[in-house]
Formats: sequence, structure tokens, C-alpha cells
Amino acid sequence: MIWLAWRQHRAALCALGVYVLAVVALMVYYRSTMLAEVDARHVWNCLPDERTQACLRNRSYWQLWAISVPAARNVFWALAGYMVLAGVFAGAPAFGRELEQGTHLLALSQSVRPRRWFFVKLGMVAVPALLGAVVLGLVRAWWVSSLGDLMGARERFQPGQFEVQPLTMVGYTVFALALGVACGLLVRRVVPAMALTLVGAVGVMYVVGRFLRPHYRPPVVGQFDRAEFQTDRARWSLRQDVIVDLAGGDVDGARRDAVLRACDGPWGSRAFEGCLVDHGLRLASFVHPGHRFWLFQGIEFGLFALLAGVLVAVAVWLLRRRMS
Amino acid sequence: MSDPGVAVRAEGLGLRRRRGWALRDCSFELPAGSVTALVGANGAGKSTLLKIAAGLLRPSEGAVATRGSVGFVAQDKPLYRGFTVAEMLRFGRVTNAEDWDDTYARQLVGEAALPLSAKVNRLSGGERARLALVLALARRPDVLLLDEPLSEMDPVAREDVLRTLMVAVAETGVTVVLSTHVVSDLDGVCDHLLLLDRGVVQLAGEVEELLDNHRVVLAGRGDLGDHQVILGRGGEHRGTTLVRVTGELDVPEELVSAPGLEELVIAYLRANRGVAA
Repeated sequence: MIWLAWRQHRAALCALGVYVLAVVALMVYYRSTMLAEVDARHVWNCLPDERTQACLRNRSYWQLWAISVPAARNVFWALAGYMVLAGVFAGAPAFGRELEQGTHLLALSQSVRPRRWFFVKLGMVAVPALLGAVVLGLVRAWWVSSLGDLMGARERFQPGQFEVQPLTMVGYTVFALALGVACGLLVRRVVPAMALTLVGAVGVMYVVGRFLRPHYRPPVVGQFDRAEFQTDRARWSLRQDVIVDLAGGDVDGARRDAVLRACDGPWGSRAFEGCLVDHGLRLASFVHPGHRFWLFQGIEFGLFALLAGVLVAVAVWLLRRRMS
Repeated sequence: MSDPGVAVRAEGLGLRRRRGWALRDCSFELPAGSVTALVGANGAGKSTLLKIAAGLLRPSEGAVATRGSVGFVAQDKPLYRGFTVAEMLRFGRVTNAEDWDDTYARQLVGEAALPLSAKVNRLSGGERARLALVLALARRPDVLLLDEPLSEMDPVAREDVLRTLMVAVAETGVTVVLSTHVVSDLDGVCDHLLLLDRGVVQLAGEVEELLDNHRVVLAGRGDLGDHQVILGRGGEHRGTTLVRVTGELDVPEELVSAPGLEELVIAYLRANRGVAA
């Protein structure tokens, strides 16, 4: 039975494997060239903390930093792409192709139990794909951590880094796979199922990151105080230095404009802040402190794992309904 | 199943679909070792009935019981296109464990001259049908259900498949049900008939008995007394009429002939159309 599942899905799994190897090679290449650059430019001392006086004025370091940004972005899209591709090319055809070609009738009229057939196939697709996600997440973490501040190692809470951590990678991948499997059983054709999986996976990941994640916990509303926030480099700032009322609530545009006309002076100066307070307002930042990182990772992973579980249950239900 | 002579028994079988009944109040018995032609127009419910009997569909009402294991070949003979013949056999082995008779499978593949290394999508339609049949037979089923096994096949392939099937029946006593909408395919092969029309069983029984009980009479329906007229063509006192005989026919012998299987089936299907229209 395992042979059958492997024989059916080996092409997609091999393609995913090649993808993983290519992206790992890219990250290894980036890491070694960047380490060589750090060596050549003698900027090792800036990696643990780039905000020292010596480093802030080191042009050579910041040139290198500017080069590292596109590398980080490329890898982010490569890893985000992997999770979606796993759903599209491994998840959607797993049962979509069987139903499209009618071969599920062949498989289900053998002695093997439908449930076993379903879960062996699912496992054959899911286990290697999740392994790929873990490998990609870990290699990326290894690359980033070896370069410290140059790669923003402490800014892993930021969107763009948060999503490609090993734990969230696994959550997204298992979700995309389950979505693909459910779509395949629902639409019963491979290409439409792949398209639906692509749109669905990207859409859900975007919506969760943009609208849900900031609210996993209420943000900490801080008084305007640069020093306080600068000490927590791992924080995730939702909004910084915005005008709110004294209770921390939002201010409507008209009142805000009136105050801005009345209060002069550079944003953040004592005079400006004093003027705001006279009008019953203040500056505040909305922040998730860095120590919430693992809590948020856990919530995000749990959310996508839960969604995946629901989708697998839907898939099992669809399979049973096909048979009644 | 209580009666050891019965291989398939359906009782009040029905399947409701969104657009109405695909199969309704379907009851019949098929004796062990019989070869049954499941006949009906397209959309009559043949595939539905076979899928239910194969355990691939759950009926909305009633039940079908089969004695022993069931083999099933779906319409279009689905096979994994990228697999070789050898891999399809391995598929049969791993999905059936001890139910699989590998020696028998290899023997059948040899008889069909299917090259083991050939990919399924390189085989002809006839070869694919034979491979699908091999997969079903190698499980050594007690009941074999074949959905349109002969469609889209050239006459030679058709004969080959039927021969394979008849040899299997002779050797193992497997009970076979094959569906078709071309009755002439099965003339001389089947000994039982199950006629479905729009989800309802119109006629069921042993072919010889059914043919015996029916007569084609060169007379109008007005001349036939108590006999049940299935289909009359022509007027009240002339034309040809198919009747179900319920005793002696009071008609000159030279006007009476026995119907062929195809004639009988078509008469029933037409009669049903007439009532419906």
C-alpha cells in the first residue's frame, strides 16, 4: 500500500524535493558569501549589535546590510512559495486525479479499506512535504542566526520573518496540503482543484497575517519613549508614535487635524507632547513585546493545524458522500 | 444469505438523487454461477445498481447482499495511466494482500499477451479492458460485476474478453453480471436477464424461460384474449404483437414465432416508452 502511494505521488514529491534542495543551496550560497563579505569588510563587531556608535557610522556595514535585504526577500518568497506549491502540486492532485480519472473506483473495489487507502495516501504526501518545510525553516534559521543583526536575527517577530520560522512553515504546509486534498475531492478535477488551492492558501495566509495575527493578544500601548522600546529589539510594532486619547483610544481625523494645527514643534519633542496633553491627547505606540514571539508562533501554528484538521475531516466526509 | 444457491439478492433497492430516483424498488435474485446480462438504455440505472452491489455506493433504501467476495470493473475501465502492466499487477497484490492470486494473474496476462513492461496509456482499448478484467479476476471473486465491459471494443477484442470471461466461469463457477446497452453482444453468453428502465426492473429471469414465455404473433392485440400484450405494432386486428403467454395461444401456429433476446428486450423498452409518453 505504501508502495502504491509512493508510486502515485513520487513525481510530485521528487519535484518538491528538488525545489527544497535548490532553495537550501541558495541559502547556503547566501550565507557563505555574506560571511565572506563580513570578513572582508571587518564588520564582525556589528553582528551582535549594529546600533553601537561605531557601527552606526560604518558605511561599509550598511552597504552590506543593503545587499542582504534582497537576499532575505528572495528567500522569504521561495519559502512562502514552497508551502503553497506543496498544496497545489502534492495536495490537490492526490485525490483530484483519482476522481478525475475514475481510478478511485478501482482502488476502492479492492480489499483495502477506504479509510486506510485515504490515510496512507495522505501520509505519503504529507510526511515528506512537512519534512521539506522543516528543513527549509531550519536552514534559514541557521543562515540568519549566523549573521546576527545583519539578517535581522532578532526581528523574527516581524512579518516577512515570522511566517518562515520552522513551526509556522509546518503549520502553513499542513494547511495547504489539507486544502489541496479537500479541493481535489470537492471539484474532482486536477487543474481547477490546483487553482482553488492556490487562491485559497494564499488568501488565508494573507488574511491571517494581516487581520488576525495582530489581535492574538491585545497589544501593549506604550507611552512615547524611544529608549524603552529600543531595548526590546525583538518587539513587533503595530503602530508607532500615533496620536491617541489619554485612554489609548483612536482619535477621529477632524480632531487630530485641529490638534496638529494647534501644536507646533517637531514630532516627539517635549513641547509637542505637552501641547498634546493640554488637548487631552498623547503619543503612543502599539507593540507586541518580543517575549510573545513563541506564544504567537504557537497560536499561529495551532490555528493552521486546526484548519488543516477541519479540512481533512471535510475530505473524509466528501469521500464518504461520494460513496452514498 | 440463507439460500446457498443465490449469489446476489436485492430487496427493495433504491437510490435517490437530487433529480429523482436513479434506482427504485429493485428486487431480484441471481443464482450462483449464473451469467446475467444487465440491460437497459443509457441512464437506466445500470451503473448505479452495479456500484451499489460492489459496495461503492450506499443505497437510500433496501439492501443488496452478495455471497462471498465481489470483483468490480467500472465503466471506462479505470487504470493508473502512468503504471506499467507489471505495476498494475503489483497494485492488485498490495491492495488485496492474501486475496490476490498472483500466479493466476500472470497466467491471464500471458494469455492476453499483455507485455509486462508496457505502460497502460500505450495499450489499446481492448488490451486495457483485458487488464482491468485480469485485475478483477485475480482476486478470485465469487461475484464479478462488469460495467459495460465490451463498449468501444473492436469485434476481435470483444470476443477475446468474452472468452476469458467464459473460461473463468467454467473454471471457477464465478457469478457474473455484465451490463450493456447492446443486447446482441451478450446473445448466447448470458443465461439470465435483468432489464432496467429508468431505475425500475422491467424484466428479470432466466433467458430461456423468458423466451419461452413470450411469443411474437402476427395478429393485432384485439385477437389475443387474456394474454398480456407487451407491445403491438399495427392495428387492432393486424400487425405484429409481442405477448407474454399465460396458457394456450388461440392463434394459428404459422402466425406464431419465438422472439430473439434482442427483440424481447427492445419490445419491453419500447412498451415502457409508450406508456410514459
